Amino acid sequence: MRRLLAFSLTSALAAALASAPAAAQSLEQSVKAAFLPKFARYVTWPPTARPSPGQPFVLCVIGSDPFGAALDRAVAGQQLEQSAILVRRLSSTAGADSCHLAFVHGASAKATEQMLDQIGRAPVLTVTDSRYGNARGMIHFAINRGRVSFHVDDAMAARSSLSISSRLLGVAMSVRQRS
Amino acid sequence: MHMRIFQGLHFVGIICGAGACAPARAEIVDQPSVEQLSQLSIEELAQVEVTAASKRAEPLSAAPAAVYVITEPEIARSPATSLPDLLRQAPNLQTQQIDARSYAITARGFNGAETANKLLALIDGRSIYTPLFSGIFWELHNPLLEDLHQIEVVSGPGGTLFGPNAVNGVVSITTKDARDTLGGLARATAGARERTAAVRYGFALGDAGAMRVYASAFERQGLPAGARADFDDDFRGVQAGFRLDYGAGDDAFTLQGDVFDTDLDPMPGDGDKGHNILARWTKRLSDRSSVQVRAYYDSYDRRAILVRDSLDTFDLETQFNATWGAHDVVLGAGVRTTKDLFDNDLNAFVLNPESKRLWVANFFGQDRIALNDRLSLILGLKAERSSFSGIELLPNVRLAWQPNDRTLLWSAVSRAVRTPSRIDRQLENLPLLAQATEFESEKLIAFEAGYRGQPSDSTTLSVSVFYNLYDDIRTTEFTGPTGGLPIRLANSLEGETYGVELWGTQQIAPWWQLRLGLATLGKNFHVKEGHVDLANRASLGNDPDFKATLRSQMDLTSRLAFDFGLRASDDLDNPPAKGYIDADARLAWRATDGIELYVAGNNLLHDRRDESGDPKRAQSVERTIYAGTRVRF
Repeated sequence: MRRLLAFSLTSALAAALASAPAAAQSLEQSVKAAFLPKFARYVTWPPTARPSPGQPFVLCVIGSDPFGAALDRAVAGQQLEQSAILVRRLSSTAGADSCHLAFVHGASAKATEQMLDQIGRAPVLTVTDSRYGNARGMIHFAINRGRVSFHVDDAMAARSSLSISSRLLGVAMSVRQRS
Repeated sequence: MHMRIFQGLHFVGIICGAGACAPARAEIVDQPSVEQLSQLSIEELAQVEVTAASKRAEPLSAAPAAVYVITEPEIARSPATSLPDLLRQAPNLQTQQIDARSYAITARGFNGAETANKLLALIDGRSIYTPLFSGIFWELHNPLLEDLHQIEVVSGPGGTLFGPNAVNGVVSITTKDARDTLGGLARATAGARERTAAVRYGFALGDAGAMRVYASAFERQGLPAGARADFDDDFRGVQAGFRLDYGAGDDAFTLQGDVFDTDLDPMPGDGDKGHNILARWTKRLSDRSSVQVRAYYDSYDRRAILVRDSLDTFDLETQFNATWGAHDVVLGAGVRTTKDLFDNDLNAFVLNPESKRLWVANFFGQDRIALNDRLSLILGLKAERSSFSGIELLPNVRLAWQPNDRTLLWSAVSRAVRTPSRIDRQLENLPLLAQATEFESEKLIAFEAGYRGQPSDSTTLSVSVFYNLYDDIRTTEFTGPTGGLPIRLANSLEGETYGVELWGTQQIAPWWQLRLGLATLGKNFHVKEGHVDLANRASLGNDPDFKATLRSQMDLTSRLAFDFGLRASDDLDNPPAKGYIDADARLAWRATDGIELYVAGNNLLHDRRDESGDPKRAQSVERTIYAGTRVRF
């Protein structure tokens, strides 16, 4: 009986521990994680930058990772055309040339800005939380009326030879037009 | 489209009434899984309400109160071409069009051109009620409706954080951040009664800022004669302005301004001119605290038939927000000074002195205490002092309880005052009318309770009830104990109002939404013992017992939208005007991504009808139909 009690206590504790990170994972981050692979569907990469047949589409988180397992779960079983989606976490932009899409999240706005600078005009779709200044990616998340929405800097995407479909632009709160 | 998401998913979080959202403090206990979210389209994902985040963008009015928010899509789809007509979308406001340019708008009673004096309206924080009579000259404000981000309409005193004159309600109009209006927009509408044209252009300023400039013009034909009054109310004008937003990281800066010039017919030179400029700076001090400073200057000059009224306003306000544990604290102070000139060559009623500088200052503090995950207590206190009043203490206590994820129950008790206006204190016409040097603030203690929630997956509902106790409402009486001239204004009416406000949305199909609204009002006032009211309770206004609205929004195809609205307003009693049922509609076609064409109409069920019972001013309203286009470039 005591063993049973001990066992049920342990399992309750284990369950609590297991669910703790899940509960801590805010809905905001889950929604953002769900958005990331979807963005890729509405973006066309230049032919040289597309994943070759059989090769994965690489979705990177550069800097600190706010999503945790949520992102892995969001891409699980998802395909982009013929490619599986591979999540790669990088602490810096070293190796970023393998990314097709990068969520860039530095410790500060300054750090994010530097990482974006280093990615430069490589054909990487950059996504950030920061909305203003140079720390802003091609797609930047915003919270509006309690919902996750996003703005699109189409001019920046054009400089990296990426083309964003009108459907994605239509959902965006605002679009900085390509000139 | 986004309603599908509610099926099979449980969420917590913010509870949205028809457009009105209350951020909840509760942690997420049962949220959709990432796998479920991954099944949604990008459009649906953009509609998922996320709790934790909402606090960050918490609107001023997030205090539990009867709040209706006119959202950006509602504004874009409205057939209204002017701000007061747009405000008809709020079920908790009563709107009377008086003539082609003037409107009387109120919440919870006292409507009328002279009596709608208990409402505060703000455009980006700039107060637009006039200290002349505490009412609002709506015709002075013609912002580009396409620039509006949202309009929060609070019925009731609205809490601590709004400025002076928030007695029966608050209308807080916010325009879009300039960074959200890049590129060009042109709009033109034309109909038999009105033509409008507007153009706006927004451009980036470096990487952290943007600016937009706009110009607009309108020409409105006068309304047909009313039951008892007929005058020439043709109205035309221009307004232009700009807004600049700048800031990356911890500082955000906004500078905006408008200039306008309108004409009316009766006498050459009649019309209104004005300009304003506003600066706002917000600094994030830490993750948990921020400070905001806002200053503005506003000036206008109104001329009509031998009357000149001008007002210059300077206003400075600062506000500090911080979170400490379970406490969300706001502290602030504001000061405003106005200098007016009221020159009346039309009749013998004058303000004495003709020109005067007034001051109003206030300090305010509010603490929102999370008693537990589900229960919050809000304590607020404002101390306000004006040139015409001593220190008025305006406390309010609010309780918000979220018994489950889809329900918010709230209640509030507040004290509010309308401090004396220039007319209340200094209008005279000797030997008939003497100044009321003793005129005091009109006082209100408001008791409110409400429910806001999502009773089913496709339904949102907000219900609020109120019981308002008024004292010292304006009357007119003899100065002598036994009667005789002169007469003067006094504070001898007291009484109560009560009512229910209800609104909700029902998503019938992914492409079809219905909105319902109802507001009722009961009034029971008496003149205090030993006093008379020679004005026969004119200051109580002229209100319908109920007002009901129904709106239907349909997306017939991805490019074709059809909306219509029905509204019913009960009879007005004093003076009488018949109640009415009327309709508006709008059919819009998005020809390309950048071009929208539409036809719209208002007052469709009548050639013409009475709307305001005002015997001296009211013209009839008539059916209007117009065609319009919006082009983005």
